[in-house]
This record gives sequence, C-alpha cells and structure tokens, in this order.
Amino acid sequence: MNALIELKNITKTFDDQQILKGINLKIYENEFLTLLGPSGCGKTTTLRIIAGFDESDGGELLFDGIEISKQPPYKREVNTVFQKYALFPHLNVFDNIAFGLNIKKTEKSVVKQEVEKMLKLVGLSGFEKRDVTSLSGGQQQRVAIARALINKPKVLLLDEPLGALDAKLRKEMQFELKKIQKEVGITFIYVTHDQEEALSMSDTVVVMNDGYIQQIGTPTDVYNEPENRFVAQFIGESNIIEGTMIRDCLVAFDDFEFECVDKGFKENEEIEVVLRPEDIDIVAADKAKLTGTVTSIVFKGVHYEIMVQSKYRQYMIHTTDYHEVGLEVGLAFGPEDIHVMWKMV
Amino acid sequence: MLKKLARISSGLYVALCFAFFYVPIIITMIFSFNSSRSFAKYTGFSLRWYQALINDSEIMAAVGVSVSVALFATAISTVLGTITAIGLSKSRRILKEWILNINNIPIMNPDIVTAIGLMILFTSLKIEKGYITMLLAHICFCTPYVITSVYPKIRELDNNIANAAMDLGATPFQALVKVIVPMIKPGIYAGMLLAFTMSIDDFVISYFVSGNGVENISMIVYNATKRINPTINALSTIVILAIVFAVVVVKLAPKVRSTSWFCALNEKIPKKTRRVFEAVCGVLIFVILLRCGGDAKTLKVYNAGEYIDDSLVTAFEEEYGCKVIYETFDSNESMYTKVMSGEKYDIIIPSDYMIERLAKEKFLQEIDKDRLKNLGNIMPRLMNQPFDPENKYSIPYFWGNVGILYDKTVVKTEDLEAGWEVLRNPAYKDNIYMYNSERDSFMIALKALGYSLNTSDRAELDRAYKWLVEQKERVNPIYMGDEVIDSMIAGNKAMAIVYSGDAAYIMSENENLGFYTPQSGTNLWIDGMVITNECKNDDLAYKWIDFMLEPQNASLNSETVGYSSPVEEAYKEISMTVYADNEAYVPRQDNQNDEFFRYQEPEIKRYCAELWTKVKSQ
Repeated sequence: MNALIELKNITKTFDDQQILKGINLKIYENEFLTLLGPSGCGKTTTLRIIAGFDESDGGELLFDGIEISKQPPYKREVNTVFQKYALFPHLNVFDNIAFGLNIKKTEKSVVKQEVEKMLKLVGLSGFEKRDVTSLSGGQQQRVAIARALINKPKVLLLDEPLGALDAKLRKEMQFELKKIQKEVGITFIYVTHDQEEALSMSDTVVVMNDGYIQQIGTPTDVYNEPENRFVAQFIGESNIIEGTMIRDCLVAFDDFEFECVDKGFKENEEIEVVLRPEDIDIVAADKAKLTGTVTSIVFKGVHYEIMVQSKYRQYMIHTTDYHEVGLEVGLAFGPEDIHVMWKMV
Repeated sequence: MLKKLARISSGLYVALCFAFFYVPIIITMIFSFNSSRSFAKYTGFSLRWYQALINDSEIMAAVGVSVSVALFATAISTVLGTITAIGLSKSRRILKEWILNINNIPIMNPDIVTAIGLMILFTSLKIEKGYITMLLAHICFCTPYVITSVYPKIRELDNNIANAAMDLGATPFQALVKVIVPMIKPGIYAGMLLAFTMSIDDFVISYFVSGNGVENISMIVYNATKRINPTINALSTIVILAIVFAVVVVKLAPKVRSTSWFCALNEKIPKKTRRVFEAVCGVLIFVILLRCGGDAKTLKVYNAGEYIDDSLVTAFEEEYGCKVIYETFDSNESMYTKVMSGEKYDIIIPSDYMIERLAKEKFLQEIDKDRLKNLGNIMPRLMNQPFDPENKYSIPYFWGNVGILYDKTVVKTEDLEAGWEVLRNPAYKDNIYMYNSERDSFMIALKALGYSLNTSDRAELDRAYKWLVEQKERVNPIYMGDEVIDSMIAGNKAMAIVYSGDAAYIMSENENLGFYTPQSGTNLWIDGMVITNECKNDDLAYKWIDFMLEPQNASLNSETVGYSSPVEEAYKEISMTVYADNEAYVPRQDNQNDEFFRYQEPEIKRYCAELWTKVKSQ
C-alpha cells in the first residue's frame, strides 16, 4: 500500500531551537493517526508543516508521491481543525461552514445543500443563522469540523481539538469524531498530549518526544510493548526495572532470573524491563520469588493502588483485592507479563 | 429627600456640562444669521453671510482643499496604517516594540515640531510646497493614529485566523479582505475617523508645509481672526449641521437597515455607489493634477489676513491675464519665519520695522521708481520715512497710528487731556484694555514719559517699565490681543489701545466710541509693498504695485479693510464718504512727536521682553 503522506527526515528550527530533529513517517488512506507527546515535543509543528503554515528546514514532504513542501496552504488537499477553533466571528454558522465553498465560487444552491449536509453530520441542523460566538465550546468545535470537512479534503488535521472541552464532553466528542471519520472515510491526523484520547481513538499512535519519533504502532503495541523507557512512562503507568538479558527468554533482575517471551537481544545485554502495575499479582510471601512489605494502599475507584517495598525498589500494583499496610507479600507475574526494552542511552 | 436632591444636582451637573459644550456652538449658529457684521449685537435675521460664503471664492477653495485633503489623507493613511499594523503583528517582538514606540512619537510630539520638521524636509528636498506637500504631511501625521487604533484589534485576533482562512482555500489577499479586515473593522473605522478629524482641523502643520496659495479652512480662519468675518460663522453652521446629520444617520442606520424596503434598495446600490465613488476620485485626482500643472505667468503675493478686498485680486488677474497666488500670514514674525524657511514670494506686504529688517538682510529688491506710473498718487507726507529713506525698497500700502479708543458715555473729555496718563487714572480701574504686546505697551509708556519709542537707553526703558508697573497697580488693565475688536464693539470696557484702522472699523459698528491720540506722540506705522530678491516676474510685480496705487482700487480696498489709504485721492474720498466723521480713519500727520518703529537691536528687544514679562507677572 502506498502512503498518502510521507515525511522524510523533516527538520525544523525556531529561534536557534531545533524543534524537529528528523521526522520519518508514513500516513495511509483512511487511517486515524495520532501524534502523541508532551508539550514541546514537536507534534503541532509536524502538523503545521503538513498543513503548510510552517515550512520545514530540511527533508521531504510527499503527498500522493509528490513533493509539496513549497505549496501554500490554500493549494493543499488538507484541512485543519484548530485548537481554539479559529472560527470567523463576523460570520454566522452557515457562512463559516460555507467559507471554503464560497471562496471557490461554488453555486449558491450547491453551497446550501452541502452546508445542510455538514450540519447534519455534526448534529447542528437548525443552527444556520446562529452567531458563532453564541455557541458553546462543543458546538463551536462541531462548526469547526464541518467548516473543514465541507471542502472534502483527503486528510483532516486536528490540533488538540478537544483541549478546551470539559472531561465529559471530551469523551462524547472522542466517540463522535471517530464516528465522523468512519462516515466520511478520510485520513485524520490528530494531535494530542492525552494518552487516553490517543489510545481510544487511533488506528496508529505516533509517540514523539524532544523532536524525535519514539515509537509508531497500534494503541495495543505502544501500550504493551513500549520500545523505550519514555514510551513506557508516558503511556500508562509502569514499573521500570534495570536488568540483564541472560539469553533469549530469560531475564535477570532484582537478584532473580525470570522466564520471559522476549528474544533478539545479545547475551548478557543490559536492558530494561517493564512490568505494568495491573500485571503483578499479590500472593502469599512464600509463593513468589520477589517479596516486600505493603507501604501504602489507595482506593482508585475500580482498583486499589498498592505500593510494595522490596529489597531494591518500590513496586506499584493495581489490584481489586485489599492488603493491609505492613503485610509481607509476594509479587507474582507470568513470562508474558514481562516486557523487555532496549536501554535508553 | 436626599435622593431627590442628588437627582436634581446630578441633572443640573449634566445640564451645565451640555451648556458648556453647546452654548458656544449655538451662539455661532445664531450669529451666522445676523444681519450686521457684529458679534456682539444681534440686529436681525439675514442670510447675508451665507450668500457671502458662496460668493467668497477664497473660502470655497479652502473648503475644497480641506475636504479633499482630509478624504485623501484618511483613505491613504487608513490603508497604510492598517497594513503596517497587520505587518507589525507578525514581526518579531523587539522590532514590534520599537516600531510601536517610535510610532507614538509623532502623536505626542507638539504639532509645531512635526510642522517645522516637514517644512525643512520639503525645502531641503526642493519639493515645491502646495497641495501635494500638504497631503503628504497629512498622511504622515494621520497614519500613526490609524496604527494605534488598528493594532490592538489585530492583537485580539486568534493567531490562527489567517491560517484558517488560507487552510480553507483563501489566498493571502482573500484572507486579508474576507476575514482579517472585517474582523478588525471597528479599529479601522476608529482610525479612519480619527485621521479625518485630525486632518480636517489641522492648522499648524498645514500652515508650514503648504504654499503657492493652497490654503485650508483653518488657515483662512486663523489669518482672519484679526477682523472676524461672519462668513466663518455661516461655514461653521454648515459644518455643524453636516456633523449632526452624520450622527443621526449613523444612529438611525441600524434601525433603517432592518426594514425591508431598505434591504431591497441596498441590494441595488453597491455597484452604482462604487461607480459614483470612482467618478468622484477621478475628478479629484484630475483637479489635483491641474493644480500641480504650473501656470507660466504667476505672481505670488504674501499679505496679512483680511487685509485686501478679494475682488481686487480677481480684477488684477483678469486685467493682466495672469494667475495670482495669494497667501496670508497672521503676524510679521510668522511671515518672517516662513520666508526665511525658503518659501518664495514675489510681493510681500510687511510693516515698517520688518521692511527695515528685510532690507538690512538683503532680502529685498531696490524698486525702480521709473517703472511705477502711479507713484505720484501717494501722499508725499508718507514717503521717505526713516525705516526706508527714499523708499528704496517699499511702497506704502496702508498706514495709520495707535490711539485710545474710548467710550464717550463713560470717559470724561477732561480726563483725556492727561494724554496717555488717562490710562493710569484710578477712576477707570478694571475698565481698560491694553495691547498684549511688549512693543506697543512700551511705546505708550515711553511716549507718556516723553522719550523716543525707539530708545535704546536702558534707564529710559527702566522708567517705562516702572510706568507700566504703576499702571498695573492703579488700574489693573486687561492685556488683550485682537479680541479687543469684538470686545469694544460690544462696549465691554471704557478704553482700549487700538490701531487706527481697527478703530475706524469698530467705531463704524459702535457709535458711542471715540478715538483719541495723545499730544505727547504715538506710533505711526506704514505697511508697504516690497519686491523680494526671489521675484521671478518683476514686470508683473510692478504692475501689482501700480494697480494698488490706482485711486479707484485703493479706495475700494480701503473701504473694505477700514485702514487709511496712502493714495491721496482715495484717502480723501473715503474720509468724506464711508468714514466721514470717523476720526480714526484720518490719523493726524502733523505731530512732531509721532514716530515710526525702527528695527530693534536683538539685545534691546530681549531686554524689553524681559521687562514686559515682569510687568505681566506683577
């Protein structure tokens, strides 16, 4: 399958600060791809380069195999939903959505039809004459999406579009966005710093940090098999332990050797191990290799978060069972619960 | 109770505020319909001044200049300022801060500094002063106002708003026109309005950067303040009504627009209005180009404001098939400044001491008397005066002296026998206007003491100073400028120091007044026509002088202006007809104590100025 958009070694510097240090990425048709990372990681810059608002310093940007770095934004077949929507306050809902078509001098009757279709898609039928400034955040968001989609772009770029909404509305909109994407059947490139948002909506998650891509994969991949310490820490919570790969499928840490499923490392290579808190079971002290004392227990709603102090470190465990503070316990996990990563340099 | 009181007093306060703002305007409007020239007495309803306004080609031309300069300056500075503001919002912070700070300087700068700066710039670049320089100057001082009012609006915009438009397919220009400009409209309108207001009532800058006879309303009004011309009231009334109309339209517009007939109308209008607008612009540009095109045969005349009968200028143009560029100044000193800044004139009409100064500074041409056939018309007594012996450089234009204008119903004749001392008579305490000018005041004191008014003896000056201080202690006079004319027409005070020509005019409006010149002597003065070194068309210049010495022209001029003509025939005619029995029109010519002002050495001038400041601050 050919990529719809391809970034090859894209770099960008602002005021002597290198924001992008060589981004390589392929984006496919119909894909819901999320750029995920902390603020300042370069995800928004990557998006703006694709949209054409910023120009990269180096590298190639291919759209359908054609270099478009020098194309101005109004010639690109992408549309953007901005963080604070950037609606036009002097126009009403109808004229905001119709803006793109009016610029192209589309026939009035067609415009009317298309706008109505879009309003229906985003659930705002009957809002045509409303002043955009009188709408709620969620409604403005929908107008912004309709305004972009009416141009039938091949790719929709969304820059933290849900950032300004409250938690409940955000959940609703996540669901809705995914639904819209399926309905219109185009590529969405979505920028967020919220890992939950990224995991629940995306087909592909691109984790970025410090101007580099850290990992590209499906949500399950990046969660279960983070490639390095940064990804593991940024997505979900984890116990990260330094250890040694004795050989394929055998890893040593905290004075013990454990069976695992990871292969492909050199013998006795220094590695790091990820143990997700929900993958560790608390058992009787004599039933496990690793032991420790419960130091704290906090109720989190669905589960308890228990901290256990072992000989070398503190482990975090998520479990639905209650264990008293001060109790001596054993920590048990199976070979498939252990994930071995390259050590970050 | 207390509430009621508060309500009444707040109501009263508002009423007073409004009265303070609007009473002067209402008075102006009422007096524009006055049948007489007076500003003090309302003698009946008449449209005389409106007719005069329409017939006054000078004022109508000035209205045209003011309005067209304001429109062009507003349009151009609005576009410039808006573009600059948008550009600034996208530039780097340091650059932005610097430019915004620099932008504030012309706003805070006193106008006079900007004015002189521009004048020097235009002179040094050898750009001929006129309509274009005035327009450039107006654009220059209007643009900062537009930037300051547009910039904050742009900062309010979402950073991505232009990107959003371009993202939706708009080119950068479309994004500007369809999104950015509509969103910052309030700022642009505010800037436009400010620019228009600043431009239309600017005086100082226009005064210094204009030339070649291009004058706006402010310049005309300012130079005319000596003898306030009620036509100005008529003009003011029209302007006020236009503003009221505009305000009403703006207020009503939103209501009217919502009615359906207006909507229907509105849809038809745009193309037509646009065409009309284009046509108007075209005509204006054409007019400007016409103005720029030089006329081969022109004469540039520089005279005091309200100091000529305008019809003479037109008559001269017709007779000799030439164009006269006629400009006015408000004082000899401001004339001197302008001339020294490099502005070129063919004929200037300064006063005696200024003629002496200009001659001394080699600024004037010697007059070849053989080329003037009407020279013999001048009264011999007015020739060969000390400021210009043998009339090498100047030919008299008007003349007169300075005396006491007094209210015959208040001032006793026997009191007047004291001469200038009557001005220190405690019986007239708080009832005297003095001239707020060091030279005129010292003239009175020196003459009262029996000295020459051109003395450079500091002891004499010190004694004159004491005389003035004592006068202030005894009668507490009010020091006034040209407003004295109107105040005396209204009969506000018992006595005033007035120039004879002004006195003649005041007395023609208020019959209770008399004019008295003390025996101990006074200041005789002559304003004369001079030809400058820069004169390009001396043939026309000589013709102008001859034209003014034509008895018929001289008497028309003297009748209109009220000053005494140096042309014997005209003088006799007017003193027997229009100003018969008006002692101010016939200044005495035979008193040995009367003197002309001479050029004062800077050192003495400074000394007098210091003493005068001390007098006033007593």
